[in-house]
Amino acid sequence: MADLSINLGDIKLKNPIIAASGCFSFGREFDQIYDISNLGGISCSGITLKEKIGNPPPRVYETSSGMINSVGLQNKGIEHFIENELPFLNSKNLAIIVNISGNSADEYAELAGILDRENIDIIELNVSCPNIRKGGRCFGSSKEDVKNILTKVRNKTNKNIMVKLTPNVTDVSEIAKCCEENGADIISLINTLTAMRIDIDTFRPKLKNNTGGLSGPAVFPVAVRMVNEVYNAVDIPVVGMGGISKSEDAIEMMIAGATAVQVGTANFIKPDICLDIIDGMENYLINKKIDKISDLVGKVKLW
Amino acid sequence: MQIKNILSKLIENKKIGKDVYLMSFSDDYLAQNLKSGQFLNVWCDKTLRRPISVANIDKDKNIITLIYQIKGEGTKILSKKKIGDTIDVVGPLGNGFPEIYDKKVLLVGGGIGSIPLLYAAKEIKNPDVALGFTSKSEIILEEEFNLLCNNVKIATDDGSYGEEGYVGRLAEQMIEINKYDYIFACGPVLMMKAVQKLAKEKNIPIFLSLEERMACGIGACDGCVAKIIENGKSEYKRVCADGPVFDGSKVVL
Repeated sequence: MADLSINLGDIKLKNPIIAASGCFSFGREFDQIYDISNLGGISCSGITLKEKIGNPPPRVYETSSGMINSVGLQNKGIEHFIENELPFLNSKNLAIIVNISGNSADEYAELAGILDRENIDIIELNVSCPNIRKGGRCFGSSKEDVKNILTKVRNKTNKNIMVKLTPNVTDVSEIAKCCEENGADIISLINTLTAMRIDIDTFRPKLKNNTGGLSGPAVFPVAVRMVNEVYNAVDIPVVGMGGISKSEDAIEMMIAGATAVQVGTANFIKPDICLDIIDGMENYLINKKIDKISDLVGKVKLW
Repeated sequence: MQIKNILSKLIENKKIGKDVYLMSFSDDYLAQNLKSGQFLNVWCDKTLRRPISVANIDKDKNIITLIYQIKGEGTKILSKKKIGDTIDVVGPLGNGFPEIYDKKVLLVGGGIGSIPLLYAAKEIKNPDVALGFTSKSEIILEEEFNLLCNNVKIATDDGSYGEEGYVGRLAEQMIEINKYDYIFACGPVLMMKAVQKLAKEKNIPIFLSLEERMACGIGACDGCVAKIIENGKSEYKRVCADGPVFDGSKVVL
């Protein structure tokens, strides 16, 4: 029997497949199609302190082998999540990762303090949303901002802290090292690549927000490269994401250095794609006579 | 109703108008459970599925008919599929039209917005129908509506067929003559705005079927939204899961 289990911080996941934030809401919709307890974990849709109305539509546009989006973190706030969504997730058997965003380091800390009292496994700090910016950039592109946020969050919680990094930086491993030095337990990457499309008849951007985040198979090679860079730079576990849409992609991402992977846009292509990926990984282990999926992590033989 | 990912084989996929195609396939579950105004998210070999509303269902033969317009690469690929090819759909999706079978309803459709109204016309008892198209060459489904309804009126923007002018004006004329309990409308934004205004003036409850670019189609990504005002508060609701049919008095177009 192939062993698909992996450890993230002090949390054991039955398999490395995590539904990615923003693509899976809080699991209820996909649970109509299959039992989400089959997943290793879920990274919940991004949550803020107070309700956020989100960006005006159109919010999504399909691109070559991918899509751009600018949802703008529409959500009903942390209290609503705890009251209305968390009980459902607690009734399921999978790791619960809560993705949070703040307008300031203090807001991240306040959110972490609230979640510290709840039955959740990992707090994912979204410091990289391309659609929510202060002064034209996100916190995740500045080491000072990341250090400030992490220091304040670490003070408020003993939960596992995962920092979700942006690919829209010159050197992602520098930011990752800064996370590790300041108390992060896990790194996740990549968030979407900032992108834009324009209608050539109207001269208007396809998204009302003008720009959005590129995701889907188009970004997978970028994600593999960045996960490998970060894996080589830090000793804490890395969760890889960005365009994973089949079991071979998930395996490749793990060989690049990911301990676990998140699957986002591919859920739109085929709603039960995560189940296919889990099955495919198990078959790979059996065919290759590998005992444990965790044996693959970072095994790339660089030239 | 449980959402399922269903594979079937195409029974037909034929051109019925300018860039407009009709496809049908058989599936017991969808045929028995889909309601008018609901849609299916159809795989067309691209990253995102295409939401296509249900145009007709034969519940005896369990055949579902979808009608779509070629709008881009995805629908173009779909139009090239042949009889016997696999069709991969997710559904039933969305909230359809209210199930009002004993009231007098006026259906107002603009262009391909007429498509979701066709199955509504089958479910409702003999509604009146006002359809608008830019020109005679763009007209679709006239015969199909005539088979189901006694009073079908058509307007064209250029006057090349039926009444000259917008369908909103045609609807207004019909409201002057007849009493309607409800209006169901689907079409371009400007057309729906006109009908929404008309319904408010005449104090007739209205339901609008909205269209928006979608990603997941099941309510999980907040990618497709419309501004809805409820209890004095405006918020973005998901067209795929909270709609696509909304109480028209609450929609901000």
